Amino acid sequence: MKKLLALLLAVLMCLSLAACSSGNGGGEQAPAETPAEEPAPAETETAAETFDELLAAGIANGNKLTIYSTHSVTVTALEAFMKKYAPEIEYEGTQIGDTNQVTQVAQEVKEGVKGADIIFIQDGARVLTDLVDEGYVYNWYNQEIKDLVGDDCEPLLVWDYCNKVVMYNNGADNTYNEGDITNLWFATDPANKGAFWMKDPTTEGVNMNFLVNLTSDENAAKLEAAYKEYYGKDLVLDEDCPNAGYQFIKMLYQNEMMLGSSDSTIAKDIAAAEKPQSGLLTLNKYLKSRGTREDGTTFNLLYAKDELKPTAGFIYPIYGLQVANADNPELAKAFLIWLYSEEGWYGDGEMTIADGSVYKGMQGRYGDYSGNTANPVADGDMSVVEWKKILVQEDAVQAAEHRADVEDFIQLIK
Amino acid sequence: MKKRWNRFKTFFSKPYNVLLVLFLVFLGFLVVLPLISIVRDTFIVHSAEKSRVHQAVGTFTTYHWERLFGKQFSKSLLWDPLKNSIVTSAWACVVSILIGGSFAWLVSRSDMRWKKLLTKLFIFPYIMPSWTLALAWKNFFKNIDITGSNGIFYSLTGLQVPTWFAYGEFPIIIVTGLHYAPFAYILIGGILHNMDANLEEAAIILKTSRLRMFLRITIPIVMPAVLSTIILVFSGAMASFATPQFLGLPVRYFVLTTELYASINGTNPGVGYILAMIMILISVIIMAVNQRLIGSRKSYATVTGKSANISIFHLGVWRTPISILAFIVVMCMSVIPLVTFALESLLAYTGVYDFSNLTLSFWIGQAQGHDTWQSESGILRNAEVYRTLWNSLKLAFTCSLGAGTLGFLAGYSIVRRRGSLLSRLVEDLTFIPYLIPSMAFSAIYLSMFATKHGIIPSLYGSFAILALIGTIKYLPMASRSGVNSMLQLSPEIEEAGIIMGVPWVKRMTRIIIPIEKTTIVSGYLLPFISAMRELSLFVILVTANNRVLTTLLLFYDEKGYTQFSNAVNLLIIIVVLVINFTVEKLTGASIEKGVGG
Repeated sequence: MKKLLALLLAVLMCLSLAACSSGNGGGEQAPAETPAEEPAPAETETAAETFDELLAAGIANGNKLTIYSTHSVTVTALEAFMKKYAPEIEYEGTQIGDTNQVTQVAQEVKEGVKGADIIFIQDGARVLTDLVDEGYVYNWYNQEIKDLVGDDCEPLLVWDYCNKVVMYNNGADNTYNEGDITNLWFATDPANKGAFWMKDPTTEGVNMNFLVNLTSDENAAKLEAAYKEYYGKDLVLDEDCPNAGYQFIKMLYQNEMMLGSSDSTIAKDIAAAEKPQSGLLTLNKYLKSRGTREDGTTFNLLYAKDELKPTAGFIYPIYGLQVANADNPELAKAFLIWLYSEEGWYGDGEMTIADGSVYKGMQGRYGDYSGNTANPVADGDMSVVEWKKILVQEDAVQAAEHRADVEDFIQLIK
Repeated sequence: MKKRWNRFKTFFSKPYNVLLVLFLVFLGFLVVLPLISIVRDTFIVHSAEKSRVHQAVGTFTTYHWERLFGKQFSKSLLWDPLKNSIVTSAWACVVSILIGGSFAWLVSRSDMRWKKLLTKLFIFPYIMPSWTLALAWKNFFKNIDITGSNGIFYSLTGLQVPTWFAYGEFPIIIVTGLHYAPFAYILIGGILHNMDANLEEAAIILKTSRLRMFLRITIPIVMPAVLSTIILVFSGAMASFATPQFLGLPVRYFVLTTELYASINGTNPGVGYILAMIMILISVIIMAVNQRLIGSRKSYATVTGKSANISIFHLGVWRTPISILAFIVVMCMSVIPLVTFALESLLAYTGVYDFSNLTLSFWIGQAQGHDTWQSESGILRNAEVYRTLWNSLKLAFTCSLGAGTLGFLAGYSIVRRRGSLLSRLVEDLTFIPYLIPSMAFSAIYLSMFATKHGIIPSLYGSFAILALIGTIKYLPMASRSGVNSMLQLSPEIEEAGIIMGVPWVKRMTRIIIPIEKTTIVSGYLLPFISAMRELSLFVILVTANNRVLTTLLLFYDEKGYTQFSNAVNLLIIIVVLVINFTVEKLTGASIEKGVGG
């Protein structure tokens, strides 16, 4: 055992010295000259190729098309697309969470291992710093996409918007009624202690980005005004809180905000609860969270809209980005263009996927909005334009710049 | 010169010396290099840290050390999680020793009823993935104050447990303690079972009281096993991730592993690597203390004199009540969790425990569409489940073959050269993987094998990297088993073969392996089961093409597909149990022998 200890200590000492002297570690290869402060990426040039040209080139290329996506629909969309447009080409689509995807794509491109040709990924802050800045993935769009998507082509191309809004339970005697929640500061109110949920921001980047975005000057000012409205007095900042955004985060955590590991599980738990419970959850869970209790009473979730000030939640993109070492970049680009079409978004009622069933795309889904705003949303849901007015929109650049500050802040108050 | 050459030739003419040298090289690369890699990672800027450190990726920095040990963050990043880890691990030791030790005594030394059935059921928690008990606890004791809805316990009794009972420190201690109770049972039971009854008989003749006999004879005899249990449980509990994540996160109770996970997945992996080093250091200290205390190191199994006549303590009027109590405890540990998984997988809507709400849809139904909870086919008609099941079986088999074979050969060569520096070094090296937390180990392998090293190609995304890390991580178990079994085998038996001029391969296949057959198979069984139920070791190394059942389970759990995750959980447990009992039936090998030697 003494030898083991000695061995460990010796290794530790040697390595400390080696690390000190080497300067440049090794395992993580440094890009030639990575600047310390990353500016926003330069605007991408609009590509000239059209869908038809790219499709023909992709088929001629003949290589397998591989996609990674945080969203399940892209995987079935790939099946439908390939079956119709490139049946002779091999393909593979896999759903992978954003954190794992960042790690996997970075490793694969760095080591030249064959992986994805195109990725669909959320968490703009990490995508910018870990993938785009390192040159592992790049932003690409052509005129066809630009015509449909407009400003959302930059800094990263938005394929789909998703929203997380404040949702609350309804159905039992003492739960909420529609429109009960009108001010976001309710979540910091001691009356709601331990009754507000969120998926742990340290494990889901978009949630952390939202908190970071709340600390921007613009959002902090809105929060400050809403505070006065809710509590009837001016907000006095604590010493450790530079603005109202930080103060909100601090009060949220100190009010024993509940952290979960899955929006779905939180949604189900909140919906079935028999006392007031609420959370910031993806709207996609809205239609799913209905049921009947043993005594026959029904329960469901309601969601906040424009009555909730200063924001009902946040909206974040899932980006469609090209991978630097793609085997079939042409087909990947053709697939991306097709996804913005109505056929790509909803299917045409005839296209089938691998198991033979009809491809329905985003039909009936609340909480998914095409980057092409001409694609209609699910019946009963609001358009992305309307949502953007009442939600905080993910600002990937601001989040990338200040994420470490907010993470450190949360580390101290959690 | 010639003398030296002759000495060299003589040295390498002994197969066990060749093996030891090969092990030294092999383990140096696969065990020591990761340690070096982890140290290096604490001094460089990772890509996720650029905006935090404000330096280029890969450059040298002391930022991580300053942040972790600086005034501002050390309490929340290090000291609080460290304190929580130590408290939960220490109490988990107490729980496992109390429950496992008491059960071992009841089985070995009392006339408790239903011993055969109870001993079979008692090891279930160890066979099951560690988080299953945590999930079962959550399903069972869910609390309206926290989740707004109550669990099965409330549905059955109408009683609501307090928050501290449902989430946080207390349930983490109990669940971890229960998971490791089989260890305590196997190790302490092994000694109690083999304990020389003459000692107690002598005490009886001298009219010693039962209490005094227990304190002066039984306790000192089982003490080495208790200490071995403490090491195993403490190290295991310190490295445990899923249980504190499931039961601690809702109330923001963090331990070192959950803090490490958050750091590695967040924007400061460098701090995560330092935390991993601290965890390794703690394990090493515990080992050193243990060695000091019991004098002989790493004695998982204690070889004691066998007694033909073990004295049995008659429980008298307490026989039936104690048997019933033991039965209830074992049912709670081993059977009820399985029932809750089955039940949860059958609920059309979670949280509603009503007959009309039961469905087989999540097992055999077809996908219902995106706006329902069943957006995928039931697990028995789901191609992805079969693909991942096959991957899991393939991986578990490979890890078992690798770790079992290497462990047996390591045990053989270590024991044959016992006392030499080379043997001690190899023995220590085989044990180091046990001290490295799974998640940190896989993070290191990810960075090590993503790049081509000499003749070894980049293994990233391959099946090989999973097989390699599984083999190395489970080597300590198999080599312990190998060392213990070889210690029980007199060298004269092999020496007789040498004198007769029997070659080494034949000696192994015709003499040693047949004699040690049962223990060797047990040495294969333990890595197999561990690999089948492993999550944290594989989770960041698995890619799209080689998903295994446990990572599929995590995926379903993260997506909130509760019924699917419970069904897959049950599937894993059933597969593991069937394989365990089949192997046990066919070969006589068992988990107990794998752990206990």
